[in-house]
Amino acid sequence: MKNIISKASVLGVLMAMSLSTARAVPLNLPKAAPLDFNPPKGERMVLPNGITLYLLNDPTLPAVRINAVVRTGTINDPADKVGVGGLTAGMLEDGGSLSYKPEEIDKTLEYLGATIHSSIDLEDASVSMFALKKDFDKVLDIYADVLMNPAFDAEKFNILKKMELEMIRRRNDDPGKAVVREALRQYYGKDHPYGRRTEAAVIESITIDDLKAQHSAYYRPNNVIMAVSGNYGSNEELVTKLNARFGKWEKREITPKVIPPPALSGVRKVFLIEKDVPQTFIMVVQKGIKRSDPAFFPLNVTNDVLGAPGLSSRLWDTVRARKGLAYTVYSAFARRNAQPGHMFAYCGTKPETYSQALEEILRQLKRVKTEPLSEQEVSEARGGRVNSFVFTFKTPFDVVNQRAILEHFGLPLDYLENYVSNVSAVTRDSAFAAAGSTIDPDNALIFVIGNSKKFDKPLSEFGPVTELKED
Amino acid sequence: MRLSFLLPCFLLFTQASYAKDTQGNALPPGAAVETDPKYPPVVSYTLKNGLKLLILEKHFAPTISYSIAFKVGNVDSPQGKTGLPHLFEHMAFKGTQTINTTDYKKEKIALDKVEAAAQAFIAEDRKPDPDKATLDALKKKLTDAEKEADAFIVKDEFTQIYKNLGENGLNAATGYDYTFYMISLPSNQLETLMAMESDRFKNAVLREFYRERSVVMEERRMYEAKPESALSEKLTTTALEAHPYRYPIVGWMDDLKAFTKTDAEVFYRKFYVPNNATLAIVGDVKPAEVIKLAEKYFSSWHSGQVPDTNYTKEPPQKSEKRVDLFFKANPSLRMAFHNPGYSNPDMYPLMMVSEVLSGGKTARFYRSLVEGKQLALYAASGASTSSRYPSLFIVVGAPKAPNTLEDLEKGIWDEIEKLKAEPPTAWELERIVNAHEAELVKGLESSLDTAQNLSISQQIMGDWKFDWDTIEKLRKVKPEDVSRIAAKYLVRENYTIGFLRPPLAAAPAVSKGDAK
Repeated sequence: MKNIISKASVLGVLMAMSLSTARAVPLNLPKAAPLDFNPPKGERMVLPNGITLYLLNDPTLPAVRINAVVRTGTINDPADKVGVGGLTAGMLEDGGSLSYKPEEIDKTLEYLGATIHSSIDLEDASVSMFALKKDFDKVLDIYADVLMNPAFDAEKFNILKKMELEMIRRRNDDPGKAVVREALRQYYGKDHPYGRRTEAAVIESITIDDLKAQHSAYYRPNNVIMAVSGNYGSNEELVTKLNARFGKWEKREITPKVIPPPALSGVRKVFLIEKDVPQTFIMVVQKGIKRSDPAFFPLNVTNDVLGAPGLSSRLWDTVRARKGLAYTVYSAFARRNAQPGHMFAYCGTKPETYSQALEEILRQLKRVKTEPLSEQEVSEARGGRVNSFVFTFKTPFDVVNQRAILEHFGLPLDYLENYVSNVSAVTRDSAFAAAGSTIDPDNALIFVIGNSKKFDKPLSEFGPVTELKED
Repeated sequence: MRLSFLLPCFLLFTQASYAKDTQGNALPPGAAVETDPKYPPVVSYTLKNGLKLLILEKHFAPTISYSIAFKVGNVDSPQGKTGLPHLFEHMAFKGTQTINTTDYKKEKIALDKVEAAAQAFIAEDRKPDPDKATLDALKKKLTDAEKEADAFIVKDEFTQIYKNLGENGLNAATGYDYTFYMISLPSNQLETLMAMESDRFKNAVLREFYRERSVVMEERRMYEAKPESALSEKLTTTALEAHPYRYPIVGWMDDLKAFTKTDAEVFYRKFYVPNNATLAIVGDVKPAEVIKLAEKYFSSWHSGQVPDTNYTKEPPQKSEKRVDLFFKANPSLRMAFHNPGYSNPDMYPLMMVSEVLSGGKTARFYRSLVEGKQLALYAASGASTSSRYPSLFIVVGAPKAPNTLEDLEKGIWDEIEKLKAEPPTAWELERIVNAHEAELVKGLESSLDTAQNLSISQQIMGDWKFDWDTIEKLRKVKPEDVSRIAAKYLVRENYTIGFLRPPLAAAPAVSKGDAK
């Protein structure tokens, strides 16, 4: 590992030098010494009740962090109860527990500068805590009780529901956010677990019993991978503490929910929400990959060249730096999906030039599909990824938490150990093949929110337009 | 204000002997290591040109995080050129005389042509009644000149080099008070970092200026489309009348159209001097090595006289100001009260006022407005919007339907009046101090956050220990101070409120006029 990194670093500098002849500073850029680095792994173990544990003791700061990755997600929301997962997660944080009233939890945590957070995404949920070392035991008591025995306090539930309704009411206030949600909703279909959104009437109908059922079904020790880092003493001490708190948490057989792959139309479609806003917000959405797809690495390299967020890429170069058409422009692909996800490009640009920006995005998508990246682009993207790999291990918490997440997503346990060689194995050909089989701008869905009266070209030039009402 | 004159004196006091870093390695003369255990063991050193260095060792991962903070922000914009400091920050990614260019000598001639063409275009465009044909012709000249200059550009080389080296978090930001640049790299790239960054600030070339200006105009439009940004701009310009904090950091659209690359170069030469900057490195380094490399790469950067920054003081408000911003979004509000600034000891009780009101779920706004009366989706406060001069104490909130903006305004005032009438409990104040202590520990988890904090605190607040010392000051605040200070500053004659609300519907004419 360390050799690969150091070689690639030197390579990076050499490549920069080869660009031209008259550059004093890059020519003088010092050669980097080899990095002496063996990434810490942390220790993995399984507690008697089935909790998988990643541990890394770090005495440098007087604090402890824990994150429990729970194998659930909003994809588990029943079709007639979309939002139940989000409310369940919210109530773990707000609704108290068997031994602690909600106010008692808030007061204890805030007095100690500690936190307990609970959140949910499509295919994972997370319950985390932070405590100063001196308060670890006390906060751990609360954390364990919240995770195992949430109380779902009725008054707090009522408040949380009303907050959720208010958020729904406000969901179109920021068009830059609305365009992402609505584009994915059209792309996957309004009822597909990857595309659906919460609706007021459904939120109203969800009951505390629904939340209890969700918690009981998924928040189980055998369904949890827990990452612990910080100044917690020895691993033995920690395991004793965890067993004492979580020992009675009952296992339960859980059948993971398999959702259908999205049914894609496979033709160019254009959607418009008419809105008088200073910028036009554009999403170009097209098919992506499963997280287990071997095309992940070559596609990553392709996207680094194409438009990954950062300060240099083809989209950055053409849409932003050279043409000044946008402040925000990038491309990304969903990488946490069990079923094929999506890839998208995003841009905000003034209505009077929106077509130039959109044409350029489509041109650049097409280009990576029809023409291999240059040797230099591929080797720079590879080198950049390999060199930045050390940032995967920035903090002790990063080390264990990402191992927990990788295991949760079913990626190989040696994923990180093989990361550098997998990236290094990407070639011009494999990148081109991955782009060729994935990227497909001709059949992409284009979603636009903006003031079409100011458009420099009719949107219909990009495909058949369906106009939608903001709702 | 003139730190460059003060700092050499400061060092005479601290450099009693050759200091040692935490590994016991000797540091060069002039370097000092912090040994008080209540602070992190930061090594400080000042170059002869006034550039201040702060170094903190962290050896968990082989990474380094860098931040350089300049005491120049939008508050320092020349008259009629708001947004210039922010645009310059964008330009500082466009390379130097040796990076992003194939041949700077030839490029310079082309860039001068671009500038002449741009100035001619802007001059015509700024006329009360510009001639369309002339404008088009001048625009074409500018575009042609830009194309000529393009021949010498190595596209995005500066950022691409960093990307190839494995950068993490490469970015920069401009505030009212300061501008800072940051990046993390693998630790074996320390010398490359120093070479790149010193070149960046010694030899910046503002190429592609007018294109980047268009990018910033798009950035401005993005903010204009966001309700909270639009309301913030409206409230700031309403609350402040004279002090330059009133101007938007991104700049007025009209100013963006008017200033030139020459303006930016004048600005750059004035403010981007080493004696106006602090450079912090946090990570897997040896401090002596950092100092050696800083001497090697940064010592030839010429210091300069930092311009006078005594700007127009904000006069007392003596009025209540209310403004409606019509916007197609759900209602929200923003309040402002003038604060006395960090040079005034009242600032610390005022920070406590803000924290008692809104620092968490046990704080009063959450308990009373979000949960108790359920008036608000959210309500939060902050004691200051900036730090070099007196600025604004802010309250933001959004009503939960069917409650109105007026209901929420009243609810917030009820809490403010309650705090004035009755001091907070000792528990409330202890909670705040404890939370700050925990935040300091959290802050140290991230090297990049730490580097940023050290560089900005040193350069803007005059001491990297600012956050640690703030805790001591907050600890001394008594409950009755909090009420007294709330009663002093959170008053109607010091108050501005902005309501963001949907445009008045073009309702059929059933107005009062018709009823008569």
